[in-house]
Amino acid sequence: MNLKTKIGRLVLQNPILVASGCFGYGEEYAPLLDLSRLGGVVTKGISLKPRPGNSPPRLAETPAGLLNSIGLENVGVDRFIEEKLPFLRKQKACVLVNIFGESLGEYRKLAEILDDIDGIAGLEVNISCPNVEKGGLEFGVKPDSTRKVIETVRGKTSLPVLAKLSPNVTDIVEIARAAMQGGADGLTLINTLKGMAIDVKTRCPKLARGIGGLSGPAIRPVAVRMVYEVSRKLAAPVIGAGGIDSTEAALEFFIAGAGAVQIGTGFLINPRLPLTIIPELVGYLDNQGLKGIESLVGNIPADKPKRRKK
Amino acid sequence: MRLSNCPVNRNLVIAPGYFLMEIETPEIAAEAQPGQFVMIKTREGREPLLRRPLSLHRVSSTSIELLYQVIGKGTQALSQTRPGEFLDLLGPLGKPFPLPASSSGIILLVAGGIGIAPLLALAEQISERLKVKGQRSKANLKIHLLYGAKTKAHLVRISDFQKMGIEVSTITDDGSGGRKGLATDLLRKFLVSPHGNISAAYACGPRPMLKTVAQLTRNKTVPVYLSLEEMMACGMGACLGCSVRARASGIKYLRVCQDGPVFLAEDIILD
Ligand SMILES: Cc1cc2nc3c(=O)[nH]c(=O)nc-3n(C[C@H](O)[C@H](O)[C@H](O)COP(=O)(O)OP(=O)(O)OC[C@H]3O[C@@H](n4cnc5c(N)ncnc54)[C@H](O)[C@@H]3O)c2cc1C
Ligand SMILES: Cc1cc2nc3c(=O)[nH]c(=O)nc-3n(C[C@H](O)[C@H](O)[C@H](O)COP(=O)(O)O)c2cc1C
Ligand code: FES
Repeated sequence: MNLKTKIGRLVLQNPILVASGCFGYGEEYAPLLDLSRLGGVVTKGISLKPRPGNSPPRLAETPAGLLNSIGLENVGVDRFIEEKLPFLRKQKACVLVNIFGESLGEYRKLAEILDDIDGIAGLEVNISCPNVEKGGLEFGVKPDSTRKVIETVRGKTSLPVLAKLSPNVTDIVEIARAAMQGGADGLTLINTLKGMAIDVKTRCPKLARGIGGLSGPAIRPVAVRMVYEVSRKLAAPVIGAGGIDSTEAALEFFIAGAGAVQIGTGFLINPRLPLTIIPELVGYLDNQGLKGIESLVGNIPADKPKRRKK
Repeated sequence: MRLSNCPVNRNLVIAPGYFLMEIETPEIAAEAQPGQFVMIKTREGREPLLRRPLSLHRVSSTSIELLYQVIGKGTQALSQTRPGEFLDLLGPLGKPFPLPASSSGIILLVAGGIGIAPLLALAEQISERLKVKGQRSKANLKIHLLYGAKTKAHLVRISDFQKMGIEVSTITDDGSGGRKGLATDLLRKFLVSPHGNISAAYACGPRPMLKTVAQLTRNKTVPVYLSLEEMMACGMGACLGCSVRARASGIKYLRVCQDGPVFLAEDIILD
């Protein structure tokens, strides 16, 4: 079975990746799974300088969901290159580096620095983090600034560039179009949805920062809809993410139009999930009489329900 | 560290709302050290979504014991698990309790409520080590447990500590077992007249208790270890969700799951 998939110029051996922020830098997970068997791994968001992140508590559980306000805590690009990347390279993982800047200048600098480095398959540009004061979501909610950030990164790197978009917008297609016009090879859809949870005993928010980003199965229908709309209206290459916790969930994204998927919260709960989905995906394709993953992507027979034959 | 599906041997109520669970898991037991914890999927499916962290209460050659209090959905689901059913476990995780360097003096254990859970495993490990070293060192080292709970009925496992020759002082919120008050009241009193040199202290309990323990022992030169709780998603150090503020210049956070859950009181700032 051919599981090879292409997202613009980015070629992946299979379409199952681990999402940014849910994998650390891989050291923790290497004892549990062979990282080289994954389609790819996306690093925690990396910034120019190290960031301490937000004050705790940073997590709250919600119905079939997880709220987080980590605040992009990370070691900074220099330590990432020196201390973290060599390990991932040794594990033969396909590494996408998620980058985050507070200004256009920071995005430019990050792209420049990472362009020269061995062992990076592509950049994922985070313009969609809801948990920081400056940068992040600010860029990703307007078409203009979206295009500018992507153009800036594109101008400084020869690596494939993915734009990671936020669902916290009125019209995802408009933002997606701007990112593609800026020169993105593809889009990652979606980052977390802004959300909040309140402890009724204390009447205070459960997160120290009040508002956080919602992930997990609770957001899956929103993510599937956005992947569907964008791949329909733009024919842009898309990586889907949001609430994947089973093979069936991943299949929804492929059928909606995603050429690959990322698993975030589902991986935090079950680190073996990606490697159980891969063989089940092969089984499904076989069953459907399809030759490879690429023939499943966006393969919706009709845009309305069809009664199953039981 | 392992991820495995393991059968439950026993799951008994031992106090109002407190359960003792034994899980057959030779692989995890072989690696497990007191102070470490496991992440348990308390029920299949999406409610609750996340695994729940529980400390190792006791470690034997092929099984582990957990002592837990029913709080919400996760521990509720766990309490309904029957012997023979399987649970998905990730562990052992985190750093163990560092063992006392000196084999003389007094080792203080301070427990508040369900915070007793990891301290039994620790006490058993220290006693076991002393047995190996022989009687002489045993005579020089005394373990003293200061234990506070809601009511007398919530004071559990006391005879297991006493069997090892550990002196136990108790206190309860309502005065039904021992004096009325908090574990930290016992500590305050103990520090005034310590009957010997304290060589190390280990504490586990609610956050306000740990804060007071840190305050009361601030001027001591001996190591004071606190076992912390924080909301966790991965338990593996990957999501950066379980932070505690480090005592360092500038703002820096440590991960309770990976850098802890046991910390030297002087290394962290509890808010
Ligand atoms: C390393 C570690 C070891 C632990 N060891 C033990 C143990 O041995 N025995 C034991 O009984 N418990 C232990 N806990 C606490 C235990 O994990 C929580 O009580 C449990 O997760 C609650 O889950 P729940 O679904 O029943 O409650 P939820 O429905 O998740 O929560 C109910 C309420 O309790 C609060 N709460 C949930 N988790 C925590 C927490 N970790 N700390 C403070 N408040 C919380 C929530 O905010 C909520 O208001 C440990 C926690 C950690 C981090
Ligand atoms: C704890 C946590 C940390 C995250 N950190 C990042 C990050 O640093 N950069 C980023 O682009 N997305 C981050 N995300 C978003 C995920 O990569 C993913 O887009 C989102 O969680 C939806 O997928 P899921 O439902 O499978 O988790 C984070 C998500 C979680 C839960
Ligand atoms: S729970 Fe994920 S880093 Fe500690």
